[in-house]
Amino acid sequence: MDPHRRLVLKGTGSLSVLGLALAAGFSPQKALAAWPSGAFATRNPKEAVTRVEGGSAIEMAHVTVTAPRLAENGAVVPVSVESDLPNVVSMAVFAEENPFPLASEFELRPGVLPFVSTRMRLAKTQQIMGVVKTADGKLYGGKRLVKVTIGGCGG
Amino acid sequence: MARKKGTIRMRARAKGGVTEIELLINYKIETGLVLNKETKELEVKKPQHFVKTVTVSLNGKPVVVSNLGIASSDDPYLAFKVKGGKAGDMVKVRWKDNGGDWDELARPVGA
Repeated sequence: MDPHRRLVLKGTGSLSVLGLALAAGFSPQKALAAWPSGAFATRNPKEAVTRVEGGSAIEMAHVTVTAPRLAENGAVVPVSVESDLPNVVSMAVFAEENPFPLASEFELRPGVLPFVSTRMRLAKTQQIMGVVKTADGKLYGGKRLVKVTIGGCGG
Repeated sequence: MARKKGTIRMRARAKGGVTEIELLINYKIETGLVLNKETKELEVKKPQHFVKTVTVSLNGKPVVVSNLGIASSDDPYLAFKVKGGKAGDMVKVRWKDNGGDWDELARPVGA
């Protein structure tokens, strides 16, 4: 590994960048493959859910979305998603009225509690939906309406 | 593609058998969105700049992989809860953006 790395570092510009990434024990290709680009790129909320969490029907239960009822600034809206289910393997946050509904997705390894807190942009007043997937592939969801005074997606 | 430095602020505390990890990344996001005045739709018209992945590891084992997009706020904030863990356990956070910039920070869990 080490001699090879030295060799790569001596290479051209783009190769040295790859060398640095390898030296840091990090594979850029793997990370790119994992990031759900199709789900982030779609403008259709249903398609965003399907692409990131699979096509199962969502049971609207066991998921609590916490967010302010009124967000004056849509650029920074604190949102938490929490579930009382065991064996949650992933959680995702969707904003149906944003230009691109998928906001974030989290893969949880065993031992991580089904809780995530984040701050997000909301283009306008809308429902925030949290979706969690359990180890058996079932989807559960919860929603919360947030009124937005000033949209946060630029323009 | 460059290593950024000092962009991550992290707090990790073990409490009642659960380790709470909070992190804040100093980062200005560019959504790239511009309002199309005719269609009234926001369209990607400018180069985007956003944090794509944030990985959290506990004692060398990845526990959470976050995939983020342009809907994160500036200075993205994330918080997670991990079962177990104790003061002194090592938490490592690494982010990477859509341009390949990245940073990481490791620090022990506090009491």
